[in-house]
Amino acid sequence: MRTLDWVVVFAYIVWVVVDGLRRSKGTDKVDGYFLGNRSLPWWAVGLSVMATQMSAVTLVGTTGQAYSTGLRFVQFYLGLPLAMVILSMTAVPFFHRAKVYTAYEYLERRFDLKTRTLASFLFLMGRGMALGVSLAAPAVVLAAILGWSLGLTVLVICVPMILYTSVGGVQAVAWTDVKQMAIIVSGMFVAVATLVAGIPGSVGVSRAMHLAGATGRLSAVDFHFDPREQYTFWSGLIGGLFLMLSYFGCDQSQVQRYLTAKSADEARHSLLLSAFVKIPLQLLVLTTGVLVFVFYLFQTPPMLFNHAYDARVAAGPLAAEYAALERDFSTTIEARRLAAEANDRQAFLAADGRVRDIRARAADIVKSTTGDTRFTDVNYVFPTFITTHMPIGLTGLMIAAIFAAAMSSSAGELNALATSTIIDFYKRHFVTEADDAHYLLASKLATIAWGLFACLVATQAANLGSLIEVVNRYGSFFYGSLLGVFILAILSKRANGTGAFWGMMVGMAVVLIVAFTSSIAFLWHNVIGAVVVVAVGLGVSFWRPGGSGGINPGTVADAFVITGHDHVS
Amino acid sequence: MREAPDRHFTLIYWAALLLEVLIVLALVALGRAFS
Repeated sequence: MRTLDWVVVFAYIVWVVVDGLRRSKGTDKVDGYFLGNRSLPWWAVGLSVMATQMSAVTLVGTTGQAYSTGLRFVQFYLGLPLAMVILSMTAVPFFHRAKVYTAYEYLERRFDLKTRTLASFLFLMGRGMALGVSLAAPAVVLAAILGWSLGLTVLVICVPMILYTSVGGVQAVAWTDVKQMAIIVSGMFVAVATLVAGIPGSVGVSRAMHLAGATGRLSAVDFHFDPREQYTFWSGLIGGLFLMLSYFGCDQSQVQRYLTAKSADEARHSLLLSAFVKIPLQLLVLTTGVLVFVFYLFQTPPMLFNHAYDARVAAGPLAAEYAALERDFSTTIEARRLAAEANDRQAFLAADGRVRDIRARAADIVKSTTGDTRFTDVNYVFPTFITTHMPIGLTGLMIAAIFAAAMSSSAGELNALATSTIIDFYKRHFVTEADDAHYLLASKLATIAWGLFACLVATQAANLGSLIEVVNRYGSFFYGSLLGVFILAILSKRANGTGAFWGMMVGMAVVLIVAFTSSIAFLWHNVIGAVVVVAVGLGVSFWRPGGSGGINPGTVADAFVITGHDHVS
Repeated sequence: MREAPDRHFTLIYWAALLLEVLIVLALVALGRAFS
């Protein structure tokens, strides 16, 4: 990082705060603070939806994954366009016209208070912890790359984000998301251009792509059906469909984005933007990772990109073997480069296989020396390329893009956590009658409190160990069940509150059992959860009919005439 | 019952799904061309 790069990063951070604060006009009422007075244009909401989904881990993790395994991760998103179409036909106009602040508000109208409270509680627990963990991942990488302490890096991400989110509410979040998406996308195009320019003229882009293809990195689609495989066409299309329906239709951090649109139709347009753009955007990110692999065929990469444990390995009992591996790695990389330049496919593939084996053995040595069994260098590949090979100024732009991705996804989640806390708990259970100014202040304090909690979790991430895995998997434990409850609510008139509540409990229990006792890939957990909730929910509702508790046990069309009764006014 | 999407949205829905099919076909072709 040179002076100009630091100037670019610093200018970005100052700009995002100033711009966020400037957007706080009209947020002096709770309606403006949480829903932007339902005044935002579809394209801004659509970009905010995509920015909330695209975290910094998407940028650094996905490029690193593509470096190692290629484009196949794109299959994870195959269910997304269909999910967007289904939600645009059902949930989007439905929530918009029901005039709710949170998705869970509707569950009380349709079922009862306990179902709403359980769903909102699950959201708060999952998102609250996940927010800290998702901040920690890029913070750890940026700290290592920039030479900062983890605490300082977390503060540089969190303080501006908490500031503009708490002061400006959802409007500040949405409009900064728009600009952050522009920085991220332009940054990725610049990275692709730099990488393509780095391919030696004697090799050319076409032959370089053949080299990547020879290693299987351009084989994106796998039609083989195996529920144990994480990413296949079928798990992405079916499991991914259920996951995306749940994420965009039942997760407050996304529902709140499209509730800010001017009208139901604008909200539908905003979500449909993702149906067209998300897969191409993800392909851009993955292609960048594959191009980093191609780039390092002609430049010497480090044996491992994560240097966190270099000193400990050098002083450890396997130091001699590690040093020998490094020497072997250098010779093999040179052999691979010569084979690539000579277009000798067999020699190239043999050398590439040897490189993979050496890297795997090196990672094993790090794991056994340090005891860190989760050690990986996937998240360090792209940042290493950025800081060592990008031109001056553009390095700063790319680091700013990683900061932008971290802030934009977290700000939307922070805003949603505050909304659910105030609307589903504080106003519903504790202070039910107070004026707008009171709830506005409480909302700002809730935003700050969740932000500080996320900072705390992020700074402690290194010590949380296996808790991080639990948090990462937590979403898949309840996402399918949450979707099941909304399916019951929207598609069945017979389902009642007791059925929905117990359906959700049994659904989560079944998913937990499946997750811990079988090797079924996590994308299928969402399908299992949703199906169990619907089956149990309907069964219990038939067994114990009545007692819906909601003011209107109607379905999609009926709900259009429901007017809000739970608004903060 | 579900709200009948108007012609405008129906076109957008089909265009989105068609784009996805084309992307999958292009990815399959890419994988085969460069394998």
